[in-house]
Amino acid sequence: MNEAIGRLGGFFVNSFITLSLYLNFCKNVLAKLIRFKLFNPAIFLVFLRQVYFTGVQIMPIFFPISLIIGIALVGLLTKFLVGLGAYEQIGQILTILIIRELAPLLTAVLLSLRSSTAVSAEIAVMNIMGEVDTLNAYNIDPVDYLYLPRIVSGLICMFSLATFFSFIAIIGGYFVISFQMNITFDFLLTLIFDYLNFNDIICFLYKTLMLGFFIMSIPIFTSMSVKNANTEIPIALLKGMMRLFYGIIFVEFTGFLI
Amino acid sequence: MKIIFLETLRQLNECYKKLNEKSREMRLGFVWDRLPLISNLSVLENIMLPSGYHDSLKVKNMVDKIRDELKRYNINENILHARRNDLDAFQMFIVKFLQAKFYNPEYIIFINLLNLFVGEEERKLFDFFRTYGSEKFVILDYNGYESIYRKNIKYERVEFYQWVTRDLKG
Repeated sequence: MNEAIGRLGGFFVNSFITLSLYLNFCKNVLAKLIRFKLFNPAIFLVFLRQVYFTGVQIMPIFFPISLIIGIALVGLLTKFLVGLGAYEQIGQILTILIIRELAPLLTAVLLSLRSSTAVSAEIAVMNIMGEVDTLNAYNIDPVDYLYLPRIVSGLICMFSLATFFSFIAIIGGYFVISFQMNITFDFLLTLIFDYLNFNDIICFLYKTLMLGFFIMSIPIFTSMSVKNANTEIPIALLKGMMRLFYGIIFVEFTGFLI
Repeated sequence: MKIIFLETLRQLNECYKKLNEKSREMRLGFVWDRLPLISNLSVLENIMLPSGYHDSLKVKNMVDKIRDELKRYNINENILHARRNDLDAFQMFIVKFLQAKFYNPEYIIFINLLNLFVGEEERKLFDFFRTYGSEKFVILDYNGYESIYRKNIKYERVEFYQWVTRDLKG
């Protein structure tokens, strides 16, 4: 019993220490974000590459997934609602389901699987190979050069892809219902926009920006601890993804409050 | 050209620590295998990294100049878009040297070079120092290599802390 309590205590203490270190890292990153020189040639190159890897290369996977989910969920749910005679609720359900919940969450999951793991491994390998020492030797701030371009690209790609997901899912859903019911696309959009209010937009922005920040900053923070051995890389990757999972849960939970 | 001879790895690490501190106050370029090129950047991007970051020099404006520099050191310009893993030891040395040179530093510090060069590549290295050696060049290496340096190039032997106090004002 004592051992179990000791382990539980150890878990909470370690979690608290990690959280305080992460918050400190976020404070440093956000402080530098104000003076961030995005258009510095060296930094802009890293930023553009990251946007390409995160936001463009994902498209061949992202587009069909958005469409399939749109067809499967939106289309069938709308059909179901129409069947129940809850015609007026379509706008409300689609707004809550797609814009507030599905778009930010699924985009975050796809970006986590694809980009967070890559960024985590990249930073860890750079630490082990001594490439971060090269940056230090030339007085290049790793926060400016390595972390911020990735975090800013995470924010931009998360927001853009979640917006893209919403449109594709709605269009996909419309294809299903337009075959069976006499609903025009214009009418479907009117139903959605009639229900869409300021809170939904704030919730969408809150979720996409927070998740965009987490999907890059958490893996980077975790991989910064990798110093010497290759065996530290999978551990950092695993820890990073678990912490990111907690981050996603935190955003989803706090999103309910908006 | 100056050479600082050291006894042990510990001394070398202490010297680098001091130089790293000094690099916050003044521009110093480094050529050392423990400071590798960035693996996800091409040769061209690696050369331009410090100058791009500090002086906002754009890669596209410097390509021709870098090409000319590579030709000058007998390096095939095709390596411009290659990655670190595609380079041999001498090419890697020249790329790191150009990275330091374009940064426009007060000194270019070559650390523990002979560890990596043997045979033909060692000859190329000493040819480079004989032809392009400059007052800006400072070599830090183990005293076990002193006879090889003495045989191949002319240099001024200095003590590390004496040099730091006199030339780096620290």
